[in-house]
Amino acid sequence: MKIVVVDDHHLFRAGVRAELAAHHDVVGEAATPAEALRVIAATRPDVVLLDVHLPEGGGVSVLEGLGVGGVGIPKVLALSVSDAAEDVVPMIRAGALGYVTKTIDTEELLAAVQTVAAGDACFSPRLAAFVLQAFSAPAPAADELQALTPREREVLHHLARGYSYKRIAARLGISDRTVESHVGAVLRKLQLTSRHEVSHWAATRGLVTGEDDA
Amino acid sequence: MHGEALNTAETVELPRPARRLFAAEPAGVLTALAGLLLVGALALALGDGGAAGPLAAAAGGIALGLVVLVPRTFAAARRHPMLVVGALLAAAPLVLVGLTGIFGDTRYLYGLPDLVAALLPLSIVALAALGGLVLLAEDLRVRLGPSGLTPWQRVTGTVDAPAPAPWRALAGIALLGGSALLMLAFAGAQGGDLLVLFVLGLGAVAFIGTPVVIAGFARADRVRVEDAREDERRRVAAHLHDSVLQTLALVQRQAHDPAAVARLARRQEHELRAWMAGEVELGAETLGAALRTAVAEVEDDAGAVIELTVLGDRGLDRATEALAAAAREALRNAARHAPGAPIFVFCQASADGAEVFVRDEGPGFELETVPTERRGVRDSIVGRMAAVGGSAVVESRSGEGTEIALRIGVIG
Repeated sequence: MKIVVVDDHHLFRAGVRAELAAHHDVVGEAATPAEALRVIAATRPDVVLLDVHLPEGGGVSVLEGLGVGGVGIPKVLALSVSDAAEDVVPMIRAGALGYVTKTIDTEELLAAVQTVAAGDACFSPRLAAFVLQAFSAPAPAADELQALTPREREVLHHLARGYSYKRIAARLGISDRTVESHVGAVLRKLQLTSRHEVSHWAATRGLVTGEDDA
Repeated sequence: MHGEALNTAETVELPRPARRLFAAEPAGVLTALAGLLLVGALALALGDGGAAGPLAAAAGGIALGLVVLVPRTFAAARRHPMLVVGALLAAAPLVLVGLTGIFGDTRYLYGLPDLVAALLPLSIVALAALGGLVLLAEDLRVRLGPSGLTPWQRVTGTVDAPAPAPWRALAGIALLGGSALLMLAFAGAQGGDLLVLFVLGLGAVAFIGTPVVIAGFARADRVRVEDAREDERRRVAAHLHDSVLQTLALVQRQAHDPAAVARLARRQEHELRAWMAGEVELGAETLGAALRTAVAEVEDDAGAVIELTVLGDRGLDRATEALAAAAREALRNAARHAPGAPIFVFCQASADGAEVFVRDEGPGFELETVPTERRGVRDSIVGRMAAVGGSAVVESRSGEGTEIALRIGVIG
């Protein structure tokens, strides 16, 4: 699998490259959004590990530049040192399929890369909690966002408590695939509203006040 | 008026004139004395006490005034050459008046006395205006001189060097304005017009003065902000010293023990994150903070890896204290029975209620098979929650880990 690592810290890129080298082919590195878009266009990777905090626009600008959703667009896994919802949720909204903290260990990182490469959402417990919170805050009427089904909510809640897809499927009496499709549906609902609504969306849901950061 | 203007202007040459009283300078003292003598002479003359006294006093006053004024006049003329022309033009009628007084015979002057009489007020006004201009120019010269500051800073000063109050400029403007008013009065303006002009003048002063005053306040604010920033830096430094540097020192000493190093790093990471999110300052007075403390304790004692996520928060009361204590008990349990397995803590809290899930990926167990002596721990959790009207549900299956759900109140 071809992977590109985008992070402005040289040492971190070197570390990730070393971790992934045994299993995957790290075909490129980049330190800025512009460089990232060049490298991605040149190397056509399967998965991009994308830092949230980059100079000149941050990871979100890379996702915007990629035009996520098109054919041949790499899957993106967001990396962040921050646990703050206002850093993480916009990345997911902009098209990243998952988010992991930089303190993740190698096995989990490899698993996350696999999940994302398959086109599935990779929700860490914390990310699931943030998303759950984002949806559970009171939403204005006629807001398509509030439409999380009880099942989707249940799945998210289990993810936040640290259950794996398989365990969730067993507990809820549904198939693994169904759990995945629920998570995928949540992801799409999160990405639904247009970009200019994001700040309003985050503000009305208490995501930018910092009081709810875990 | 002219002399006074020059006099004040000259004091500008001193390094920080605004901080000193005018009379504290020798020149100022001399000028004041001269003024007093002249006023005294006037008073004596009006009191009809004979001519000798007032004349002597006036002579003394003029002499003193000249001592001060002549060198200053030259200095001012050197700096403002146009001043000489202006002063000569303005003073010409006065000179002519003096001449007619001396010659006493106006026959040869062909109507000039009328012209002089008409120009005399104008001349006085022009001199006053000239004085005002000099004052204003001096103030601007000091403020706008080469200094490497932005234009705004030049006018209002900086934090390090606040500009002196613009007394000179104000006096200059007052003189100019007064001259203008007099001028208009001579030109035949009515009282009403003068009042309007006076109000307009006040408006102009307010228009110029308000931004300067505001800038002064803003500067004071900036000083306060900078003080606050410095305090903040000290606070951050103190915190980093107590936490991060301390941990780094411990890490260096325990470098041979990777597990201990990892534990220290993880705990420090937790603390730092909580601190950065402002949660520590919110106090160990909340459920989230109590859970964080519990997690850090169990991580340290048992060497477990615990991932904690807290959504929302609420203050500590009897119920939430019990909740936190039960969660700590559950964490110890999990760390004991599932050594090495990751533990997840998920907390949702609001004003209406709170729930905490403590889950481990350990071996799990069948509840029925748990020996009685180990039920005590579980009962202590369940009993604690029941005592505050909450609930504790233990869910475990062999090979699938254990989850303890603790709840108080209602969670939406």
